[in-house]
Amino acid sequence: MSATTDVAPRPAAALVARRTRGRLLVVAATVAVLAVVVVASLALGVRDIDVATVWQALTHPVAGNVDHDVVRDQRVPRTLVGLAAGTALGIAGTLVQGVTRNPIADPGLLGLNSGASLAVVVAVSMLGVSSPLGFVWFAFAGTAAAALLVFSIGSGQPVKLALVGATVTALITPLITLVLLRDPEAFNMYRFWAVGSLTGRGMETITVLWPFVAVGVVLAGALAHRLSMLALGDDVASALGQRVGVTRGLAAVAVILLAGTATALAGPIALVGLAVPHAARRLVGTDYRWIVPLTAVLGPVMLLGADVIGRLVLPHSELEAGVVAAAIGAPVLVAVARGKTVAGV
Amino acid sequence: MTDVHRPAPAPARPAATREAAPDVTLRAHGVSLGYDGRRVIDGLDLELPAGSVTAIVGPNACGKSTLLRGLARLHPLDGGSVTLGGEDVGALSRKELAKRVGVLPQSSIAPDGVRVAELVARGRYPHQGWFGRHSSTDDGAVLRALEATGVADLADRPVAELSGGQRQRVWIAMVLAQETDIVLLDEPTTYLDLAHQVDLLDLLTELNRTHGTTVVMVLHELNLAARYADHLVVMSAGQVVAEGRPGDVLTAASVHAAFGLRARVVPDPVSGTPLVVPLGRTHDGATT
Repeated sequence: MSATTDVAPRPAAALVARRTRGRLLVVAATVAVLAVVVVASLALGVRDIDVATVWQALTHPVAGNVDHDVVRDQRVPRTLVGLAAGTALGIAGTLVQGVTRNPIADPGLLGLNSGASLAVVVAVSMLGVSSPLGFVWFAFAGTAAAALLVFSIGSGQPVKLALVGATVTALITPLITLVLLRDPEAFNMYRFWAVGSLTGRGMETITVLWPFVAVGVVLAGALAHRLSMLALGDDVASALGQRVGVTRGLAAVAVILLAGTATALAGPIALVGLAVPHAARRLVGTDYRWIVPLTAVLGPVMLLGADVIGRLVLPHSELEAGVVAAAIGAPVLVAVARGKTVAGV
Repeated sequence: MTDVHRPAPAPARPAATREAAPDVTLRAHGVSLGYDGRRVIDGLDLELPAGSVTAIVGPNACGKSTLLRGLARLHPLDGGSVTLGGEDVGALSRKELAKRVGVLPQSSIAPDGVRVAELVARGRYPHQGWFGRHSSTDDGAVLRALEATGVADLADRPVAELSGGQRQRVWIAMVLAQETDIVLLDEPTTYLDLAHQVDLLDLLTELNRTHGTTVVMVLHELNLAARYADHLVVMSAGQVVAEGRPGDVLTAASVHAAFGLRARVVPDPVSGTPLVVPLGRTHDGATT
């Protein structure tokens, strides 16, 4: 280029720099909100514990101190479950919307939640599994089986994927009902899992499952730039040198890891995976290199935040995170839908 | 590089603009293409001259878009091969191909909210690693592409807010940001009104004349194709029925052979290129 380039203002570069600053601010603010939510999750509940005591419980626990025991045995695992499941759900939703280019897609739409639910129902009713750690593997296997089925039949085509996902859900849902109707005891156990809750999962569950989330997060991060190209259409992505089949395949692996873990940890929670990517696009635009990291933070903000709110709304009792998340997620989606433009994928 | 701000309508390609420009002659050797076993093109041979503007025309469903997709490796070949400067395109990695051949398919999607500069910057993808770190080389390429297509002033605007003509310029800017010596475009003027069609074809001609970019495009509009193409390929039923200079190729006979349309071909009063004036059942040309 001639001297004109060097002298003239560089609108593209200036634009990129300006947007980068704005996006960094958004991510930083979201991280700050998450920090507040984490502290609240450790401190608030049926028994309110002040922050100093929480800190003490974490650093210098005193044996026999009830507050310390509550923090260490209940609130810490619960918070970690919220963080892991929230991150997993947020990113899984982003990946599913990205590869299907479908703004209403989430792991639930692809039939992954129903796959997990069926596996849990079978485990409870027919195999007599009753511990949360026992559910985990069945939920995981169910998610993976449904994902493999849907992705192989849907052969990576956005509309086919959604159709096959809906078909799988429609097939599985009555099967679940059928089993549960005949087995009230299993129904009793299942419904507490199915409502979506962060409680009752001990440290051992999170210890076993966090590596799956970690691998899924790393994979999603590596796929982010490819998803930005895929958003322009399969043909454009191919023309730009991307093997779209590879992108879809790796994204499917990441979705199985993330959605499988989230469902195993917290039950089939619907609206987080759907609402979080939309909110993220609203905040940072269409570049998946920003959307993916932001959803990793916004997911736990929403899920753990819902859990904390659920502890506060009822006196001496709690609402499950899944219920509150749905109540929060719906208005978020309505706000997105009522906006100037729906940020498509 | 020469100045891209005032594209001089230099008739010949300034050879000095590219250092050792690679041979970008695109050739189809016995290429067969189809959908689900249905053959659309069977054993087609074709050479697209480097440094020229080539237009591929033909009736609906004649296979012209399929051929372009086959050349661009967006559609798998059932048989034969495609070479670029003598090198088998099928042997290149997708990314390597994307560094050499720019393609604008028909089915492009601009995500809502994406801004012009962002979309154009995505054309740098083949030159970037997994995480897409943006280098100063990328910045330069994006800026040149924005300026060459006259959309630099729109860099900050959401693509969705632009007119159809502006939007198509932005897509072409994205392909130009790939910095390839050859670009393939599948019906780039679709959905544009006549003024914007002419504007876009002028733009592509300027790119060819000032940068030596080889342009290959599928076009619907015969008369514009005849005016803007150095090399015209007329297809029908999966076969090339005529190719060469528009003045030699576009005749009443070839139009009838390809389109089954009776027409009179007269010289374009502006450019002297052939102008196809269709006859029809209600206008048989008896009363000129």
